[in-house]
Amino acid sequence: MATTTKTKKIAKKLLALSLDEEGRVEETKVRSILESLRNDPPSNYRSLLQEYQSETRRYLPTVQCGLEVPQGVDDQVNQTISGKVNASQGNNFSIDSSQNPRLIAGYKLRVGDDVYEDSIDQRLENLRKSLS
Amino acid sequence: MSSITELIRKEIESLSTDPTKTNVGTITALADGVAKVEGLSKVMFNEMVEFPNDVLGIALNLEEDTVGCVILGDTSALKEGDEAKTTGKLLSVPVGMGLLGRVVDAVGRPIDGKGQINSDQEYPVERIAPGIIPRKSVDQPLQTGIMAVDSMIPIGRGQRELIIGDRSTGKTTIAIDTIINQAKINKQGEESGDPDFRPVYCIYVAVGQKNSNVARTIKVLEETGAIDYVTIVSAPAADNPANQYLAPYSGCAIGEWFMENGKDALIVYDDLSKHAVAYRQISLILKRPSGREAYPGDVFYLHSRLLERSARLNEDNGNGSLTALPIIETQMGDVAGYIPTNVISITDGQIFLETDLFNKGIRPAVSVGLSVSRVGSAAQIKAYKKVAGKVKLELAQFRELAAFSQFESDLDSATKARLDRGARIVEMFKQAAYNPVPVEVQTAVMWAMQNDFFDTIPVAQIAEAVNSLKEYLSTQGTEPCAEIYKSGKLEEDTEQKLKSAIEDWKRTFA
Repeated sequence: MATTTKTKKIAKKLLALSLDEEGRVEETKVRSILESLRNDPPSNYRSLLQEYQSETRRYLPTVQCGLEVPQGVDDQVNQTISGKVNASQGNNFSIDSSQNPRLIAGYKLRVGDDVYEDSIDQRLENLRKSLS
Repeated sequence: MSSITELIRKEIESLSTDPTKTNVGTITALADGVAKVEGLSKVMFNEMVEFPNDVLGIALNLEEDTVGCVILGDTSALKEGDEAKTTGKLLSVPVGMGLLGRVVDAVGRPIDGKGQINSDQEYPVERIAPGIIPRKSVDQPLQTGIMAVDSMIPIGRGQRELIIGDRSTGKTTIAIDTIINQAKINKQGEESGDPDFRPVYCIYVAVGQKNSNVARTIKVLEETGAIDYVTIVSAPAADNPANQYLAPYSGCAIGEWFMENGKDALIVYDDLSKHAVAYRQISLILKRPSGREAYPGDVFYLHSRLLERSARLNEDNGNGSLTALPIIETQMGDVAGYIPTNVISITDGQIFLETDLFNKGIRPAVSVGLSVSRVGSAAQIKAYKKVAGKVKLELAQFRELAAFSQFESDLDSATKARLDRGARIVEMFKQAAYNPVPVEVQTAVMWAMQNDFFDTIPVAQIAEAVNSLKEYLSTQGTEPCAEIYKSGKLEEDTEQKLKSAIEDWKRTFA
């Protein structure tokens, strides 16, 4: 148990080292941390990497929101959404947009643990639930 | 055809097309019916969580990074990485009159093949027990139909009376007898057309039992016609521990509906030992710290919050009641175990059943010394109070004297008389299973015993004589019993009529 707590603390510190001035996870910093760990592996190397991965996975949605749309989105839409999310959440979010043809039409936006959705897929799912 | 399409059209029209906001998480580990979910930052304690394939779970452990959810369905359809969503709802079960005569699972879904439950109301399974202000003291009797219980350990509406004993000592039989008796009284009351009559509806919660036992209980209730007044909540041994943990709370929510709507209800928890074991299993899987006998620290609260929900409400709150008969199984007659002592301290008395008495053929095997009802004679009709006042003391004295008399060859006449009376009382209390006796007949039989009508009958024939008298009073000499039923009192002229009826019976019996 003590090892786990210690590992968690180190993983949190590694995550802090991976952030840039605006609080975003910087790929180059992550690479250099992984390289230095590989060169001088600690005794709990595997569990530390796993913990580092989960800490990063938990942190990313707090600074990056995921936008799913059935077709590609242009930069202007991206910027508009990013601006609105930042205004409502009071944070500096970046948009990670991807295509999801299952939605048919509409969008699905994930900010942290919250998912905002207005799509045909969701409406059909609601209809299925109400009829079952 | 057109009505069906119209129905679907209306359903589509009523659908909300606004964007939805949900709080989501991801399953990171799944084992033994428990999912660890990362995310779900806005989940509330005891909130229902939705998993893929319409599987539901309950958030029971809210930790720093993860949420421990107990799955309430088939976990084989779930896998690591699946999305979990909050629902914003507490687990609720359907309630109302439509539940009567039905068998449901721990979340209120019908499992009796009789179609959908006719209910438009739901109650959350976890609710706060009524406080002090809406309560009233217990003073209305709830007759079990078992002479040994109704005379010595009377139960009142709104009371919590524990039934405790080793395996195979007749614990469930006492509970089922009580349910059957309520159904008999309900039918009698409904036929009488008395506007003040208050029927008692019953809920039987089977936790961790064999399916064959539950099926047998249902069959007994059907055969006796009691099923129309009963709801059965079943979480058998094969069910997952989460359902076994929830079943008593679901049953209680169903019972609370009756109580809060000014009706009387009786709930049987069969049994809370297995309930505690299911909760221990969940707690250990959730990695909660374990204490004595590996039970978690809040195992007392598990049962206290459940049993505190049984109450008698005052007139301002509808005058309803919920009586609880929890059952606890002891090991080798040890009432000092962890869970038994917990539940003993929560309830308002206990009916202790002894293996030795059961094996001697004294059934129901009620131990007079260890059984108690803290409500006492406040929950007895006046007539019964008059005849049953001394019987517990007489029987307790008999048990003590019987133990001593084994070593004495010469006994004085007073001791012999006491032993003789005790032996007769023991025989009088012997009663076949699923055969409850109406309270007026019980009163008459007790009166006959107190007035020495059985003294000339050999002890070996007392049980036979008592059964014969019960039959006589129910078929031929019905007048005194009818008077007791109507007035609830044993007046002097009723006593005279009773005396002549019993004398008539005695001539035929001799």
